[in-house]
Amino acid sequence: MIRVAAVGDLHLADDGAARWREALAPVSDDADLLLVAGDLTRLGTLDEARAVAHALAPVSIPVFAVLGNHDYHAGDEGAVRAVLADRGVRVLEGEGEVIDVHSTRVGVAGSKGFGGGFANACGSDFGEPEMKAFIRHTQALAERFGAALRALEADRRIALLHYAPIATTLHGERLEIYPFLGSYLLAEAVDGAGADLVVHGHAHAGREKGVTPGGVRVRNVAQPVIRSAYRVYCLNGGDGIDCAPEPSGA
Amino acid sequence: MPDRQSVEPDYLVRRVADELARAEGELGIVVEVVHGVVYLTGVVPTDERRRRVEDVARRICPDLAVQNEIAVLPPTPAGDPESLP
Repeated sequence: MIRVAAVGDLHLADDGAARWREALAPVSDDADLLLVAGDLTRLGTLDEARAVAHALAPVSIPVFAVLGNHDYHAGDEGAVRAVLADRGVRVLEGEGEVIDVHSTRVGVAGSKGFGGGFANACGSDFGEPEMKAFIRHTQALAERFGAALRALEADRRIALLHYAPIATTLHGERLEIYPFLGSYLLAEAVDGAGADLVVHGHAHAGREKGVTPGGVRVRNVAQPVIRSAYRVYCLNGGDGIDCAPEPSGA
Repeated sequence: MPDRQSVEPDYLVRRVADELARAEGELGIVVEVVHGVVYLTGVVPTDERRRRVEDVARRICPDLAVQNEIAVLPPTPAGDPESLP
């Protein structure tokens, strides 16, 4: 059994760092690894990245993250990534990494992802250069993300995104903004490579649970959705140890 | 150029929302202008964030009343884990 803790959209700045540090403190007992699904910061500044590092300081389990759109806003995403890496956070963009958890190889591949929309309501690689650039950015990220996921030599594979791969976990958001919240290309990449779980953020008014067209479970862990400091998902394996089932109606 | 009082409420809403996004990184706040009052709703994690959102609305709409109905919702402890195959 692998216990995966996940949260996205912390939007941390100085004013929330102490509270987040306290809220994340139990995660090392609750889980085997922590995934952070983007938007760690509010405006993507170095000070905010340092606040994130401060909040994560007590976490002793491996931490994987992708950046989100907020982490790009100040134009310092490279420095933000470096501050997080100094703290030991594995920041993934079209990359993957495998760790050993209780003799199980757990692979995580990640990307920020991007928008474009979903079936029958998505942008196309057509028209003005700006529109083509928008869609081609998503295509390029999805391609690298899928390749990273396929390359994982692992017993369990987890996909980590900021933008949403499916529309189901966006329900609650205004329909008009779906193309800015995710892209079907990300789900296609997951289904092409295969995975046990997809985690994303970005959709604050969406809902937690969905599934890709290929049957991979998707969880929207944007903090305003899950409300808690993190959610724990147990990937049950062949060790005979299962998580306690959720109470009915949960 | 029209003065602020003659700006249509829909455009004022966009001005406040755009400034909230650009300067504060707040993209989830709902802004409405009804009968000369700016209503702010949504959720933020701290009192400081709530105050800063209100400050932006007051700066963009100095001639209107601002009703700040934003909830402060800090992260809560994690609940029961979900079991997956």
